[in-house]
Amino acid sequence: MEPFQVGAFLTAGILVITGLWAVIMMDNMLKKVIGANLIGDGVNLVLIGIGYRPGGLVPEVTHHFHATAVPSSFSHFLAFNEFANQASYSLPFALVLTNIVIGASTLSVMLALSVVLYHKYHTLSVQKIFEGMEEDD
Amino acid sequence: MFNSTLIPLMVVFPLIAAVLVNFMHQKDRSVKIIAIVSSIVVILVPLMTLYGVHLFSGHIRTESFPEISKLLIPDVYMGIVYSYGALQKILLALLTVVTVFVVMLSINRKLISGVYVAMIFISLASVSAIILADDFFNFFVFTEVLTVAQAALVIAVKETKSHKAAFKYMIFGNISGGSILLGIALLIGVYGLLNMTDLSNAIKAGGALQPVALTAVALITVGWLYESGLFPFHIVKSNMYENALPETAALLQLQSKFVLVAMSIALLRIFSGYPLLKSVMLGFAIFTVVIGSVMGLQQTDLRKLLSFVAVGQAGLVAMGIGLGTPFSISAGVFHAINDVLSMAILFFVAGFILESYKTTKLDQLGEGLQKAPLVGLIMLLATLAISGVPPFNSYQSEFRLIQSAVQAGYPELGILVILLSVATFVAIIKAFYMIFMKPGTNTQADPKVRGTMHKTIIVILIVMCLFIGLFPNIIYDPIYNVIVALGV
Repeated sequence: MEPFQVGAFLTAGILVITGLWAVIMMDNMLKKVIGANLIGDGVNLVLIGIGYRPGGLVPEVTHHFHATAVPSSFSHFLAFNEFANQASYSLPFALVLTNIVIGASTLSVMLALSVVLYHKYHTLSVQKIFEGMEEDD
Repeated sequence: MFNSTLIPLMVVFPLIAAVLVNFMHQKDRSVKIIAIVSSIVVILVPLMTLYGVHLFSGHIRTESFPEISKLLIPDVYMGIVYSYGALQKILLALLTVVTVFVVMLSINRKLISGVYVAMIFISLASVSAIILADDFFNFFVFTEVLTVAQAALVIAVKETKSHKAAFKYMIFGNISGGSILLGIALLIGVYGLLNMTDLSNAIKAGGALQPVALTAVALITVGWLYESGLFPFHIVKSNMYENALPETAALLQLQSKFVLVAMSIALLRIFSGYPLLKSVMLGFAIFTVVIGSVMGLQQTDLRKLLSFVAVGQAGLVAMGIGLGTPFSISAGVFHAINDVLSMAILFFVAGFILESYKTTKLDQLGEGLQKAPLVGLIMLLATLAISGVPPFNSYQSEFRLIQSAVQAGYPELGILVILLSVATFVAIIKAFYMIFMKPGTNTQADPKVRGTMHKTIIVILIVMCLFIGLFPNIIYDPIYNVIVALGV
């Protein structure tokens, strides 16, 4: 395992634990939302660490494909097998991109709900908001 | 196997329909037309599609495996794959039928228009993708999309308690989503794969699971518990059911049970050589059955009562799957199909009662038989159906569950199934008495509510229950064959 990966996994662990602690222990609704988001960020970092290859090619870099490119621009391209041996593994990065999009949408829904509940109760304390759960019925 | 081009339509078409109705929000006539046309199409597509696989990236590779996993496996499916067989057909046919019923009821409501129907179609697309997907990438993405869509369906009720329920659901959904994705990340780290068939082959070829892979199993199992609404997430799930409109709750419980089935089969396929997984599933299922039935007995609100009964029944499905024999897994899946039908009837009855009386609190209701004798009769039949009384469908699946528990060497679980049936019967028959037979009422029924659509739908569903009860092998045999073929 590379030093970068060790650092990434450790940081990810700290992010996930901090996120879980915020979700479970903190009373502030917004802190819970931020904690839930930190968990997702930690998982993204694990994925990035897994996809890392020291000195590897990045498959997504396509700066050769500009409008004025001529056939000779591609003459130095590697054969597929050679490229595959040197490229970083792109599957985890695809997952990270997807998770970022999903994370943004869930975050926005949670924040919108927080705003609605704040307008109703004039507090961000989860304990105060949810203690009236039975009374609402 | 055909590379059927219609398979992705089962996911893509509901998504297109969702975009269209969302775009037409507040133009009720347009929403209605698009929703009706889309409903017809979504019902027809699973019936017209040939069994087979759809490879999004084009081809099946038969050469050596990518170097990254250091394993040689023939028939590697590259990219995203959807598999469509007999089991998927049965699940999708039922899913689309109930979804269409809910869409029909929703477009009748003046207050709920485009966005609401769009969320129903998005949830349909998500569950379809989860049922069809043969890779963890799709699985993860669509479970997350499903969480957001389900939360949105509950938020649409526009009551504070529904907002609270949705908030809790989203927070736990985020933890569960993170858990599933972390599990997937660890599997990629060990095997470099996301495709379930490949993973299953790779794990079998690699011998005993490494500690990292075992952690992945545990993390994905946490996600499975949440998505299925099993203990300890049963409270979050039942809270969602009770705070949604009853018609929507009928759909939510169906989606949860089908996701339970799809995820369980995926987990058992991939980690079939790991017996502790089955024991863990069984343990959580038993807890859910006991807690669901006990909580159900204590409720005095019809929606809450049905929510806990639905959770308890999900535990029964998981119990069959957790027993781990082909017979018990088939019985569990069969029970999921039967149970969603019976529960849907009861939730639709609750929807009619809510529309007529503006409440589902049992102590405020009474003398319902005079107002709606047909609904009362159907509720009584649905109570018998869900309690496993012959000749209804749940009798067939519960009988098989008891038989499979005895065969697997756990006769005490057979007794638990019987006890759950009795508890379910007592809880719902109490509600039936309070709503339809109790003399005196605090609430007057709205004379304008005729509930023709509700009545039509519950009659269709009870006929389906009776049909499956009389001819169970039409549904059960294909399920058993698929389970045996999958080797779970």
